[in-house]
Amino acid sequence: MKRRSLLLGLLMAVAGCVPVGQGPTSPPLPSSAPTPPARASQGAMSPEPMVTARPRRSPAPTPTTQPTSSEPMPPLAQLRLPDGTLQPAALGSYVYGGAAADGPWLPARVLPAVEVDAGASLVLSVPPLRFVRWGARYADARDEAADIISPLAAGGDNVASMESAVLPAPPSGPWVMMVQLYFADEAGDAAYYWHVVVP
Amino acid sequence: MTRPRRATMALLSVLVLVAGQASAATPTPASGPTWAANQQVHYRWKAGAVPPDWLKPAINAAAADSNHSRAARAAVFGYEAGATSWVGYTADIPTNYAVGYAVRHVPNSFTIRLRPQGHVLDWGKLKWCQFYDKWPAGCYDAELITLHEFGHVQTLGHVDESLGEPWLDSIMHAGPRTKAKIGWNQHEFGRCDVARLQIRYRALKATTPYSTCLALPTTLSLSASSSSITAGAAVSLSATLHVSSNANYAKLAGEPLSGRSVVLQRRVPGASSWTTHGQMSATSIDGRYATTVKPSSTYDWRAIFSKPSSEGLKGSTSSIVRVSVSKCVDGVCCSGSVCMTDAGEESLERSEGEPQ
Repeated sequence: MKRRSLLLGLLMAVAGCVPVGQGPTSPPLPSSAPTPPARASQGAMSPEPMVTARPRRSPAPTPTTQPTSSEPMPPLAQLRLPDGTLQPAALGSYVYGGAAADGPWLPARVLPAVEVDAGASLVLSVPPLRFVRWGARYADARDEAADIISPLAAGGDNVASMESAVLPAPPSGPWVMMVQLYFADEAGDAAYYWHVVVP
Repeated sequence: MTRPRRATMALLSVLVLVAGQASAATPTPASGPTWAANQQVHYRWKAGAVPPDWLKPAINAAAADSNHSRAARAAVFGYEAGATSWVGYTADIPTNYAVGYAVRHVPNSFTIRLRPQGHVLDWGKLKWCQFYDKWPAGCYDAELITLHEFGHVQTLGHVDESLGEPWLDSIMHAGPRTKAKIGWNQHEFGRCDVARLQIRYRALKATTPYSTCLALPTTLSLSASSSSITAGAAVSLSATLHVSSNANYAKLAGEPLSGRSVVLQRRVPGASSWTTHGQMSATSIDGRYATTVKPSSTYDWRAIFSKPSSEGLKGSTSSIVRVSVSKCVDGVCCSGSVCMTDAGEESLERSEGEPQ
């Protein structure tokens, strides 16, 4: 049965059809949702036919944070490096404004790499929001499944809000660093990723 | 890390291992307004994005998983054609990494979206286990992911992974796992998810066990139907057990606790050791236990609720209740060292050594 569906999907894809439920235009949002913005930015997000999909191995990192609908999304966190450079994160799983998105630990190949000196202090912020707790962990950038994740640092007490926090750079090596933030006023949580290379 | 600190960490690790599952932990975070108690919230398939037949059973199973494992008066989910809420099989999900997406509009409706099988995301191609006859490694269990989304609908957030708490304590991880990592196919809320649902919605019933992720203080009180009886007469002892009013969680403070083991003990006044009389019986009133006794002598009584290993409650002991027993001979009744006539007149003080 599944193989038959697969074949049908393939035929539809070849014929230029799109399987039901995967139309190129997004289905209408719930009546309680605000009017969606213009869809110009959604071209890259058009769903691909199911059976023709192939993993992308583009060496160029693909931003993972482009919204496709008007549902609320948390702002991007950023790291201020010792030289003052601001390095935005890639957004991972989050809960924000009643919406929640869930995905895996993001692999290094989809994240922009940032080189950080060993022992450097990184300043974390997520303007314009404040947060009450944060925790940073990291995994080997070559370990796409993130089988081994190590704690890096954590802070906050769930009560006093802060607009920034200082965390140490991971030890030498290529890493995916994930920072989880809990926003002030119970606004939700978000996981942010960076590909950090420490010489 | 310095040597003393390493030793401390090692000791802590051992303690955590010894404490095991029964130790209190951190309830899963949550935010936003809650559904009404046991609110029935039905969903339909989204028009134009109806999940394929191989996926629907997993979605419905996830709703059932949420219903049976919530252990709280959280929302109850079920499929119903024409419902306001919906579950869709669609790529219309913000970001190009998420496999599942939920939006809640408490107290009216919710939506859940599951990304289509084979969709190419930033990190690779999505595989739903249920699509395959033989589930491949690296596939996502649609039942778990949908249960996770129902968890968000119930207002749960993601657990703080930096706390390093056991994976199976929660299904609300920021990075849900694929086959065959530990926890990849959990089909019920973890104990710390249940804890948060109980904190936000109250326990399902007075008999519902509290999550071992909690450590709620309890209060036990004891009263007697009479503080003074004649020998052989019956007296009812009544105990009330509830979550302490000073518990950290407002909705749980004062909640009655039924179906627990409350033991009645007695001692001779002035003695230091207690003797177990027996277990008190549950009554039809939530949190109330009762026992009828016919003491032949004066005793102090107390009720004991021992900390259970299977739920997140602390033990408690009631205050002491004394029931004085008088013995009557020839119209004179003595209780302790004081004797009274039937008419209520004080007769004489019993001399030392006379049996009470």
